[in-house]
Amino acid sequence: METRFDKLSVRELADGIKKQKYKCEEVVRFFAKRCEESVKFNAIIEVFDDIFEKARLIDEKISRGEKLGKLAGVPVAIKDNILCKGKKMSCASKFMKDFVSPYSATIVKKLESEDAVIFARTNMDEFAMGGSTENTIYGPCKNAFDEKRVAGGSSGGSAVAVALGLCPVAIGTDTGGSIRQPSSFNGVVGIKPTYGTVSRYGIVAFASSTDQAGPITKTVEDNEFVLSILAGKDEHDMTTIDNDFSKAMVKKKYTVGLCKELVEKIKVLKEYPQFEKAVEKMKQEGFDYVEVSVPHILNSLACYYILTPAEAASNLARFDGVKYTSRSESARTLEDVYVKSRSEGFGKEVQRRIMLGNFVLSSGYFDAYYKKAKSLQQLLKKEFAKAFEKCDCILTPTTPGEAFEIGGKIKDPLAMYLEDLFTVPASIAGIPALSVPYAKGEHGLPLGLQFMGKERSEKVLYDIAKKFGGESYGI
Amino acid sequence: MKVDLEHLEYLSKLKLPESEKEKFEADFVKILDFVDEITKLDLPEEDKKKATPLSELREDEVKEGEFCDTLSNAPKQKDGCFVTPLVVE
Amino acid sequence: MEFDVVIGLEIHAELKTKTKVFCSCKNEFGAKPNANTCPVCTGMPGALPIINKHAVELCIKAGLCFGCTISEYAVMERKNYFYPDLAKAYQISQMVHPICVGGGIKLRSGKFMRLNRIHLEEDAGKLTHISRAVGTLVDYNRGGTPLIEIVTEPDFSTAEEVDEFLKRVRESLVYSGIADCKMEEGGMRCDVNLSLKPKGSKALGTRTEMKNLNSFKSVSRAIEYEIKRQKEILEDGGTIIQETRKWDDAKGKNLSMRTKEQAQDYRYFPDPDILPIAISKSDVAKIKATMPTLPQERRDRYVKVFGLPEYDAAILTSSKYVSDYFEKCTRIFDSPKKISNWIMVDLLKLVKEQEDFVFPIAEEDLCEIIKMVEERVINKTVGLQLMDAVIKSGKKPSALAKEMNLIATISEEQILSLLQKLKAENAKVSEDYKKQPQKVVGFIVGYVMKNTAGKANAELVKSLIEKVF
Repeated sequence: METRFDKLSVRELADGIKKQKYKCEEVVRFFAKRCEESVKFNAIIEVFDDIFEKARLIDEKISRGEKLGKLAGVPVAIKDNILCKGKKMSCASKFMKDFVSPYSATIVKKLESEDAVIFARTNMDEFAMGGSTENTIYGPCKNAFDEKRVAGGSSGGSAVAVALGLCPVAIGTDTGGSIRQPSSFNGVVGIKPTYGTVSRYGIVAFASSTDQAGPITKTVEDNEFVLSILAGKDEHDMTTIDNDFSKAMVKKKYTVGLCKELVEKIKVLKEYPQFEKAVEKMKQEGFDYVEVSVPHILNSLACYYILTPAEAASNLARFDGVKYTSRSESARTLEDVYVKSRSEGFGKEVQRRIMLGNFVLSSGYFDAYYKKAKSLQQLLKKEFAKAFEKCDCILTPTTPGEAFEIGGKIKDPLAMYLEDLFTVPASIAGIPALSVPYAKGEHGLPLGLQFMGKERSEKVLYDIAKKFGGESYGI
Repeated sequence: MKVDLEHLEYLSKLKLPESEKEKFEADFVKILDFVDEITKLDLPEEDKKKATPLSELREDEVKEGEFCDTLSNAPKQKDGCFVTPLVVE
Repeated sequence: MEFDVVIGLEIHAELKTKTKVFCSCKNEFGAKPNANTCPVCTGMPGALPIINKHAVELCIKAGLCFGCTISEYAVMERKNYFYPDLAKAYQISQMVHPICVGGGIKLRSGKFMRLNRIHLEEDAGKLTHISRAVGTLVDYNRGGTPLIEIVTEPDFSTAEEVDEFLKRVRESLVYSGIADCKMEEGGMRCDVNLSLKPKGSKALGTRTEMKNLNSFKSVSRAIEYEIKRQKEILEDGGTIIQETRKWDDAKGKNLSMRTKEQAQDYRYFPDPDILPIAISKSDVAKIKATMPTLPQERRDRYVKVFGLPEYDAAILTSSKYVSDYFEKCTRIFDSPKKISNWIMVDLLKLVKEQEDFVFPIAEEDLCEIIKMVEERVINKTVGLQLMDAVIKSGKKPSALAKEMNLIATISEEQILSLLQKLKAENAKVSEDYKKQPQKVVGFIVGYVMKNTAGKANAELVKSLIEKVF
């Protein structure tokens, strides 16, 4: 019987390759085959054509006795907004469908320097805007547990790929919940690290001040292991910080905070009993509980839907039909090149956010919206810092509910935005937030529990999640 | 809330199809009404943010290794340049 | 009707850095199209700007040149607009927290022209408009190269004031190694904001902005033209439209650049990719220590301390090189007037019409020659021959003078005896000398020179003539 490589931890997988228990080529073949069998989920856009060549090189190195990196031979899928030199990258957009990356993202270089095999690119909401992976030219990505339901988004492809065991690790990006929400919907582990922990160089910017990449994995251990590789200050990204979280102190006993402003919102959820049970379980396992206050937390969503479209409007202006995107065939004048290419190239949701961003930045509205939102962001950071004086983490459900049905919210943008209620605060505050599976909802679909911590407290969050245990959702 | 869609299209270099304008505007106004709560908050002015000391900024040294073929995805190019329709100044 | 003219300036200067302001590409003029480009300066997806320390330092230095307050906290912002020369569709510039604030320059008249600010920003790429069939070519080599923008208050009222101000700005930037300011290459650009108001009125009139001013001369001409144009409109009862007008130097007039259908709205906001910059007092002190003495201060010293005429002081400070050369000479040989004469009369003509010249003789050697002449070891003519020989051979003046046998070896006694001989032989000379000495001195000196193969020191001869005759 062939080895179920998808059942191994990332460390075990790399060790097995290094110790020549099996070849990297076998591992790659196994996952490539699984991808082929799962095409209908639309999780993977493309399995890269050089993976077998890469695998052979790794096997050769090992047989020559060379020392290999921590991710020796581990296939890693990347979201379709991360540049890998020589590979296509489209942001799931018609506008970029023929783009070939002329350089590699810092995180891709980091993964490669640890001998990972950059394996495939995953489906996503166009330019990472969306919460369902329905805004994509490759067709909606389907939930790993129910093909009629959404994968979540925007890193839906990455979450579904890991959930289905199409790859041991997938990298996602999270601007307001885009790693955590699909992780929650698909029963996998995802983290949005402290802002600045992972370099953004070579990742297509959505909102520069909240964008963070992070790993999606089956287990908390794998997640911590991979994040420790991705993290680090980068000379190509001024906003990166030295977050050597693996050296952070862990405690024997933790205090968990429940945010009083959110409690009302949580209590009305259909899945409140599950959340209550989780809290009870934690109490039994010796966690202390405390009520904390983040007075403006419920304004985070409004803040988010002002700041991120503003930055996106500016960040996406470079896609103009001149340098690398496709150009409208009917463009005759410069104005045509801009307007026609952008109107034909960008999907609806992206256009909406660009317009929204230009609205809040425009003369006459800037002070009332953008400036106000920036003040609120700073205030929220302070309020969170104060709350974390009393607790080690703040606990919330990751999402208001289970994965919804495909097509269910796509027509109502505001309803879709409200899905981000629990994930957005950590993005706005720049603090780490980890989502782990913990229960099932009324339709038997996985639910995620979110642990938010203070800046650079990833190690603590991982430790709490390990102590909590949670449930595993292997398929 | 009234929205000057035409001005936003101009700033965004986008043109919405006529048939979609009404629905777009309705959704747009709904979102604006939602985020409008922020304008009513009484908030302190934003303080100065964490700054990088001058001494820690990048040294002025040429790094050849960072070049790449910047024209490789150009929709149109000529003589090592990107090409646009003739710009009338 | 009488009008007051109100002029404000926006001056851009390209900074002398090795690399661009937000990436490590070369900052150089004249490379092959897009040869000096990378993901950052072509606005590739995923690319992020990394600010160049030296560019910030040069901006601070510019601020120090003009007495600005240097901000402790500076922020880069995005100015959003679409144009093919702007790869990211936003220019990284500064708005609310510029690096330098205030300052100004005092003109010769004593009038103080205030600066509003000096900020750092990136330049755009270059567009070449070929034809309708081919289109416009875009080259991003210049894209992302560092610029400072010097913004003045509307304190100017004449073209002359603007001209003096611009020249002072340029020489200060060039002296301090901040910028080359070659206007013809676009290394320094000046936009002029101009409006008229009824004489004495407080309220400002509607202003126009003029662009495409590629030389000091065109700035002056354009200002004169625009004053006249606005005056005529106002006198006819018309109104000035707030607009940008492009100067056409060949035609000697400006034309309205197509007014955009919609008002510009640049949607400035702090660039989230670039952290604010903290500038400490010690950073500023360190930069200050590298500042040369500025030309105006030098000119003042040359006139007041060295007693040079204004004109000479101006020529000696026309470039930092000449001024530094002059000053080094004065430290070697304390005779500024003589040195100034040699440089102005004899040295500058050797390098006439050259740009970036270097004098072909070292300061020490020139001073040695001047000293020999002043101490009457040789005369000026021989001194010039010696200078020429030093330049050609590269040898030291003293050694060369001996080698060429140039040093006056004729003793005082020998000269005296020659003079006695002349007096005895030619009575008319004595008579003439008594009547009009200046008329015959030349003749007598010539006589001595002729009989000593030109090796007598002319000054010595002159002083001996007095004794003998």
